[in-house]
Amino acid sequence: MLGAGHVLTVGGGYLALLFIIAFLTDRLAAAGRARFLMSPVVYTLSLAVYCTSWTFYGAVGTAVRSGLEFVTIYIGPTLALMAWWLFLPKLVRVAKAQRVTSIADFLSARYGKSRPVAVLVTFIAIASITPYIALQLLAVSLSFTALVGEAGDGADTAFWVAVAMVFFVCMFGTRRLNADESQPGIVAAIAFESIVKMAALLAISLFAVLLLPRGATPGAAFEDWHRALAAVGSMRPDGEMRWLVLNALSAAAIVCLPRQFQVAVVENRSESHVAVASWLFPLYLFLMTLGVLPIAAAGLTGLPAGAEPDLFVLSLPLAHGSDVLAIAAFIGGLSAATSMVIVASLALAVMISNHLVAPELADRPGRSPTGLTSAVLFTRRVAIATVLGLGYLYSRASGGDAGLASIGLIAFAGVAQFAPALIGGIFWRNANRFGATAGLGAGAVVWLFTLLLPSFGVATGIVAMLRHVLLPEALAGADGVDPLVFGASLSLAVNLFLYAVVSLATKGEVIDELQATLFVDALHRGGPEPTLRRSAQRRDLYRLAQRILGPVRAHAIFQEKGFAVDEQPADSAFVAHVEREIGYAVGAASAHTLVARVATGEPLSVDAAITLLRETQDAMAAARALGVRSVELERTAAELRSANAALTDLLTEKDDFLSRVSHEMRTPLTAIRSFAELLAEGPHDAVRQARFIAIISSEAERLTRLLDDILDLGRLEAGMAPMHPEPIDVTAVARASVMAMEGFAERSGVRLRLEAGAPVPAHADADRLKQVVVNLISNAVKFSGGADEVVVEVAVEEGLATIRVRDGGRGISEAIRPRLFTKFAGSFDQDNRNGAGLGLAISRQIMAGLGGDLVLEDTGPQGTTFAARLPRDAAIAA
Amino acid sequence: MNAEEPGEPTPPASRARSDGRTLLAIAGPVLFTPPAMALADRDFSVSGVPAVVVYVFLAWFVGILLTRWLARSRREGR
Repeated sequence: MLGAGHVLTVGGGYLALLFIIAFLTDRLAAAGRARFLMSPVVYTLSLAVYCTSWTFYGAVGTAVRSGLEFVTIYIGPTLALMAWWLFLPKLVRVAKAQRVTSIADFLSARYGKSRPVAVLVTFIAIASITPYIALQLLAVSLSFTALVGEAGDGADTAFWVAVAMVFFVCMFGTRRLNADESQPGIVAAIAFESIVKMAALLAISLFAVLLLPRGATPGAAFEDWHRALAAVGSMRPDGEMRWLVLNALSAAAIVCLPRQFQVAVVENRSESHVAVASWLFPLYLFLMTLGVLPIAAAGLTGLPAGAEPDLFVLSLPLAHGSDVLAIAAFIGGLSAATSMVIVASLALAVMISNHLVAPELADRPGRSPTGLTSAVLFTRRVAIATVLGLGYLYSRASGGDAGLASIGLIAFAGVAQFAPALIGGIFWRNANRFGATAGLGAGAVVWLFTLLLPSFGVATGIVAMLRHVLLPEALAGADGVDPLVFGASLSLAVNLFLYAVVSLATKGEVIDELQATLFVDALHRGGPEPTLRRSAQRRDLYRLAQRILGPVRAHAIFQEKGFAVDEQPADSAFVAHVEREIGYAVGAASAHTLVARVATGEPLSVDAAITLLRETQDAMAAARALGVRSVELERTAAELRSANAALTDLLTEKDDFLSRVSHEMRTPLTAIRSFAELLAEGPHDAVRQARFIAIISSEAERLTRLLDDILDLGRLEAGMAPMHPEPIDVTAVARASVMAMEGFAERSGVRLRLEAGAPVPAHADADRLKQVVVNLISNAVKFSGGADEVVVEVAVEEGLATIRVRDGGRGISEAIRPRLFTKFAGSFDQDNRNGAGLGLAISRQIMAGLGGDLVLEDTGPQGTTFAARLPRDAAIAA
Repeated sequence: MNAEEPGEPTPPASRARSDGRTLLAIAGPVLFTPPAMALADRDFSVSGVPAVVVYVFLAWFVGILLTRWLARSRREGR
């Protein structure tokens, strides 16, 4: 046992440290220097307020009593966060846009700013969370007693911790009332506490791991740690339903618990933090849960069999003489308890002041220079003190009996009643206030009578009767369905059923539908916010804002928008803005009522409502259509760009072609002109004259040929050249071409050799095909470059009739290969002085027209091979 | 051109990622259903730790790693 004085000093010192951290952070934040609060790690650590003393002490206890079931409380949130992208960004976005202050405010805002919804949620939260706070205070006093023994009885630690927490939350949680400022001091303290409790638990876990090999203490429950661990890691028989329900409840708790909603949604600084927390927070839970196993195993082997498993975390180091670790455990438990108490009491106080008290205050004439603000803040302080006072009284009254120990799960089941309305609210447009009120109300009543009251031993007759009526005989008894499974399933089923059915059966008001749109479409709505069509005199709005928020804030609101305070009407967007600002002090529901009183504009009729919704939907449809159109435009632009590029290429080619045509025509024309001039200059002898005339004639012929070629190519390109496809023998065409060219080849000293076998039937225009082969042979002969043979080969390859013409020339230079089949490519060639170079272009066009193609198969110093290929018997269209 | 979300054409990579997120959101709960737990509840242990405990913590940790990986690639994708 430790001295009570020491423990009190350390505990008091720790609480003082919390005050210092919160104070310094508040000062830094006021000076704009608390950048570290903007980190996703701080956000994650603040989420870890989920781990209360119920985790710190209770997880080991649950593991010892019920086996592996204890992990569900931490796996549930992990599973929920695996699907974080489905709901968390939307919750955060909506909460920011609507200036939401609590989960009650969120639900009320969603369901048409309904005050009954807000009040109902607030009462459910108070009923669930106050006993939960009591549990934390009880944990502090029990752990203190365990540490110092009977000496601790006199010091009512729970009371003093409660008092310290009232001061702490009032100091750092109720300083300001402003939508733009959260509570930096509190966030920093919570993050710090999360580090402390984790470090403490892991340190004791490590200590337990070191203890394990030492073997069992005499009188322990288990003789060796293997068996202890097997017991801790065992699945409870018939525990399937409980396993499922616990997982579901803890998954819901991660946003439905008021304190979790507070840190995860209201205090969120950036949507990007959510993505980091989606894995970092489960990792935190994972480590905490992992740390529980060795402590449980070591407690079962290293402590006497009767030891209280809920206090293993403390008694283990104590029994093994490590006072420092025992104190660390106490501080860890204290940090877990205080962090929960701080955030939960603040969240409850905000709900109580905004939804229960402020609406009553709002009607009074305001005299204070800060409007209602100071009254609201005062209400919050009173609420904090009341909630903690109630918690303390609970803890005294129950005095550590089993009733309080089960309150954690009962609280989870209580706040899980928010889940249908919360999740339905951001996905289901038709959900309305009547459905939400009915579901929440009925679910809460069932929860009250099946879970909360029986846990205090009150009204147990009702739950017994319900079990008797609803369950089969065999399951209705005490050892039948687990009470938690029964209560949670029944209350949630009733809740969900009424929520859905009543929403479908009734029609909400206009504002229900408007808010539904704002919530459901939060992530993909562009353009101006749809607002109720109202207008109010600016002066009236200013008076209202002044009365609720005080002149300073009211002035700031008007100045932000650059509006003067005059008789001018304010537009509906500004009315909505003022309403949200006021809502931050008095809740969405009463802000709406207050603004409705001064907004004398257009009365809201069914017609207006329909127009409003249609406008919203039209705007969305228009945005979507715009999106589609811009994609289409982009596609068209790309097509135009490529068409333009193709046209530019064509234009270049055309210019090129023209310049080449003129160049090609210039040569023969120059010759003709000069010889004609010679003839004109004077008498020449007959031989000279005849030679000149022969030259003129041959050059003119060349010109004609050139023009014929150009015309032919033009027709082919335009697809206007006449083609007469008929069944032909390709071998015969090749033979005829060779025979026609034999004379020309002989004159050039080249021998033509035909390699052909059986007839190759095809469907083509024989004359055109012959034109191609003749052109290829003529080129081959011209460029045979000293070799004495040109081979023409006819073959069938891959189902194509192929005529191949091979020469032994020097090959085609790389520079002109890419342009080989374009017009006048040949004239690039140094060796081609005579050819007009249209031959290959024409040939390729012909082959294309015949349904085949013409390719350069091979070229190099050993020679060049062209291949003309034709489909064999397919009918050729056109 | 069907199925393309108008206005926000999703590049194929991020579509694969969003498929991954959906799969994870479904697979996670399935891995912790009572039947899956019953399957893992075998009569052997890994250096003293019961099989079902190893299963729970392993599946949990892998789930965390996958969530991190998908959350990360999502941010980089933006």
